[in-house]
Amino acid sequence: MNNKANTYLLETIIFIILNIVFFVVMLGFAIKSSGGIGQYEQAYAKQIALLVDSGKENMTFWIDMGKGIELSKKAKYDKQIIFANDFNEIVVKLDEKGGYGYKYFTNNKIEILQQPTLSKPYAVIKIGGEKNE
Amino acid sequence: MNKGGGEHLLSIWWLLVLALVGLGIVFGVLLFAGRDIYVKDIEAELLADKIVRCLAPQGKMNFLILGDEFNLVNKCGLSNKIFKESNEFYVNVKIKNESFSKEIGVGNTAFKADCEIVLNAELRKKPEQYPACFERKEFAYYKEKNYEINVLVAVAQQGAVK
Repeated sequence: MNNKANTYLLETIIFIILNIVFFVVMLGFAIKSSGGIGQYEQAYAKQIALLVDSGKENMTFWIDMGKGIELSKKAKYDKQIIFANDFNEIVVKLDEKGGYGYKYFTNNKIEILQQPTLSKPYAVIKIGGEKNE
Repeated sequence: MNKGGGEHLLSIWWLLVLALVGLGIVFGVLLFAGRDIYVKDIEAELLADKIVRCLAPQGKMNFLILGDEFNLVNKCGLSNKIFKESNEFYVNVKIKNESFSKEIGVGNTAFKADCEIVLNAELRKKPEQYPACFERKEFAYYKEKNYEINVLVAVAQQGAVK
């Protein structure tokens, strides 16, 4: 009888532990997904594109990308983060495999004067003259 | 009565319930975390502002627009690539007074009809398949004549994951 009670107790404890592990894993997944690199890439790309759209020629603006740099460091990515390509697109890349692009509608050249780094976590971007399209 | 066997069967159902709950949580979180950050409204307003500042700086009409050769994209510092090659933007400008009327449209002209629905219909929630539309009316003067300028802008840019 005692053996049965012990077995039952053991099974119940294992059952409770498995449930706790399951919910902790789910919670960890939810927290990780909500603060993901993808969301930051999207936010920064759109922020920069909108600043370019609202700016004028020869304007320079600084963007604080501290949180993005921290995530980039965790992902072990230390290459160029902001790109302005020939398709009028600003691309922000915080890890090796990701990246998000958003277009701006003006005809200006974009110069990335400073890429954000750990020691200087802000990007410096200049709106240049008109492109020859 | 095999009560032990019954309990084992119950634990299988419990695992199934846990699996369903887990799938539901994963699906819900991915749906939420994967959502777009919506900036189309702001972008449409910025574009309309830029057009208005180009056509009527400080309330004075840019007289070049009254001519036949006026190229809205080039003269207002917009990108030809964006307005001719991508289908994500549309600008419509109407200028009129008692004796003059002109309409210019650049970009994806299908958005004009979409904007009539978005701006005029009483929509409870803006459907995401429609562009973000913004309309602005300004008055400008030139050679002692007043002109009414109506600018309609539509933005449907989605952004791209690389």
